[in-house]
Amino acid sequence: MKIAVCVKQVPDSETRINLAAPAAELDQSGFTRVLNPYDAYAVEEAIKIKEAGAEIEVTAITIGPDTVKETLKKDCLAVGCDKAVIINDPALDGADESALATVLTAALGRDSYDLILFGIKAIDDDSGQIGIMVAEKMGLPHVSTITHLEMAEGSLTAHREIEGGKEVVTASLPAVLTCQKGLNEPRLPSLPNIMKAGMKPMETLTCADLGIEVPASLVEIKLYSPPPSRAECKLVEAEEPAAAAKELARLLHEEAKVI
Amino acid sequence: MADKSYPTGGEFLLTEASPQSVFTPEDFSENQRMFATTVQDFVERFIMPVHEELEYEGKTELGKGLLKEAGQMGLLMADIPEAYGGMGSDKATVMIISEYIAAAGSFAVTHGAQSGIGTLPIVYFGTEEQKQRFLPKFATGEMLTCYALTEPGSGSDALAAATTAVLTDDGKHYVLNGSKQYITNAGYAEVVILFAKIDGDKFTGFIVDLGSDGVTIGLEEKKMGIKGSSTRSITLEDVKVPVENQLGEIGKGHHIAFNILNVGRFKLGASTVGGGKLALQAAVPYTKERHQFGKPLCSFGLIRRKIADVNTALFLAESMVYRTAGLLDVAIETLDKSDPGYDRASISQVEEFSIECSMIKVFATEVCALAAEECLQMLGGYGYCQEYPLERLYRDERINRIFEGTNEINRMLVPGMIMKKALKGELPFLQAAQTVAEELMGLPSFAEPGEPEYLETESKLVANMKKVVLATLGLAAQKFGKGLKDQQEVLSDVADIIIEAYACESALLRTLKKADKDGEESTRLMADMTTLYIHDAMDRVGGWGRNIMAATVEGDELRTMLAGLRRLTKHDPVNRTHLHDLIAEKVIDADGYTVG
Repeated sequence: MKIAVCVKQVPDSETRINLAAPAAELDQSGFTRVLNPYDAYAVEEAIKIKEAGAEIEVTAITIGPDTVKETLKKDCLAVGCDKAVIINDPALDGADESALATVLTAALGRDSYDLILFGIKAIDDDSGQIGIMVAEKMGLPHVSTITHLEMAEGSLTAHREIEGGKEVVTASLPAVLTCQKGLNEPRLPSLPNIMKAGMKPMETLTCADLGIEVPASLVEIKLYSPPPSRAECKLVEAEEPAAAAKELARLLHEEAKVI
Repeated sequence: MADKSYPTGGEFLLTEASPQSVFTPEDFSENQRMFATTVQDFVERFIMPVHEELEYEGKTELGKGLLKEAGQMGLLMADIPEAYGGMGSDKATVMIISEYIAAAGSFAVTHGAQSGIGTLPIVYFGTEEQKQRFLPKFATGEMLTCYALTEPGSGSDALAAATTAVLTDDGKHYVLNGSKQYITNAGYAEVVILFAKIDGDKFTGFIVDLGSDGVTIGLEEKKMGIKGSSTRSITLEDVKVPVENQLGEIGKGHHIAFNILNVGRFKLGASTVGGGKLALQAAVPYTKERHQFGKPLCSFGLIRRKIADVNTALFLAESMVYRTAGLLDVAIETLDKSDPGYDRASISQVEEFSIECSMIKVFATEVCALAAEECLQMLGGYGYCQEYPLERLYRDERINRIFEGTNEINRMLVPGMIMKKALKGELPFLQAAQTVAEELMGLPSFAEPGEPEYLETESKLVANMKKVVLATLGLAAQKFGKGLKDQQEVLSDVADIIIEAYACESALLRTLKKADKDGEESTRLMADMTTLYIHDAMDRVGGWGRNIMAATVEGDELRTMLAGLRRLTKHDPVNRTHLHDLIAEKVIDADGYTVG
């Protein structure tokens, strides 16, 4: 059995965002980068399935720059994934969900996976579309927002969160799942496993390696600097309008120095 | 040490190290950085949920389960060789784990007792059979261990222990009698490594099963701090210990005890750097939120000075700790890992740097104390209340200056060990001291200094600090001869100068190394801290130097020596307020410790 987990590296939720005004460009130099927390549920679930069965291989797949290697090593390979694939193509900078789903579909098509896991969404852009898009593009059944999973021969049963309750869904394999908080508690890597993770295979590919053109994006994201903050407003308080006017004149003269 | 292919202990005093030769936190490997974040994650996941119970309710028994969790994550095995189920990590990695586990508060001490002092005696001095029997279980936390050296009647004077061991007539057991105290993890450990005198005089190590008949574990000590760690006494009444559990050579227990202390010292250096950073991290955000007189506290000069001084002192301590880690690792790397005597030889390499280990123990624990003190003060009344972490950090910090050899004992050791090496011919100290003495007695140079290059002034000051060491220790050795060991005040002052010189040089070299790699512009904060600290330190060095000279010689000789000292310690003041301001700004921006 082969399982793929599609993951994303995101800025730590405590990262302070400095907008490098006025260029409206995100200064990412001080970012601490971590595995998207929802993807950690997907990784953990894959590892649990692997541990419960025999001859199960788990591959972590991501799209991103070179910095993703650390996350793949520590949070995927060191906790039990067998190998990792990175699609690192500068042409994908700023690509939208549809384009990224096309790339992932091509990457997933290189092998025959029985189960493909995603986090429900990434905490940076909060979009939550890619997992389902991939399922559509691959023509596979999908169950989203799962909080419980049971595997059987050739099929799975998952609980998914719906408003005011839960839905129990059975699907045939291969299938795509998106994982929600509550599914499991992701383990932490152990120090020796971090060391061993460095020896596990990690493959880096471009769109050309996948045999596809860089897909076009329909959405363009632009950043704008926030408007300059306005100075604090000062309210002149007085019993009589005349006294207020006098105080205002004094403030304009002595503090603001405009009259 | 005839082999000069790698650095030797105390050598820094007589030679000039190149910036490229020092190990710095900027050199951490990917694995080391990952270990650091993994330890942070461990603390967050397992320690923080029971923080209140550990630190304020004294539930010391929780340590047992937490050690098992730590074992699962591989946090107990860094020091254990791979052949016995450990990671066989280098010392830098061990120090990184110590630094980051400090955030676990009391559990950091619990962790150290298991993975450090409770394990290392067997790593370094155990027989093959003992290593196989114990180490794999220590590595995973399956078996919990502890270490007992102190007795009611012997602390710093460890060799005066009164516990006895007598071989039974059949030669199969030793019978132990005595009492040990202040034993971390004694509440739940299954074995203890302790020392007893065979035939009343042969100080020897033993591995004792705490389930044995005749072992009594005392009640928990009511301590000022580290309240979540178990600290109890162990009393031995006719306890039978199989001869297979005798550790190391008979009568050579002091080798174990002193070497384990050495390791404890450098690890404590690292963990107190971690502790000091926590204090700053707890205080700085508060100074930004708290407003008085219509302004945030962090905009006031005296608060900014505290922030800058604490950050700077931590930078010095951190530089010194990891430089020492690098020295230890370079020395250990020269050994052949396949040699069956490798583990034993590697502890000898640590022993080679016992001067450095004592220096970082003293310096880093006192920096941690400064951090706790000043950061608590920044919080004002809130700092005094248990609702905020400074109250605990302030109490917990205190023990660091007492255990692993009091700072007083360690101060005596620093010049003591230098003199020992000098007399053995391992360190050409006396010749160098003679050269400096002649320079001091001679005519001053009137050469006009040109415009100083990058950190050149600071480099000169560090070089002069070392000359002050040579001048003062050389003078004291000459005047007091063998009686020098009883001149505790003089020795302590000399130790302080040596420690400052090592700390200052470590920071300077680290700054130069970073500037060389990343450019001077992105090294500004480090350079400002180096400048600030070295100038401050030189004033203190001048004071200690004067005291040593006045306690050693008098009359014309004293006047001549003092004139020489003035030349060595002379430096133009720097604008401290401006430097404090620049440094504080960066720390405030980073919400805690930063090097830029």
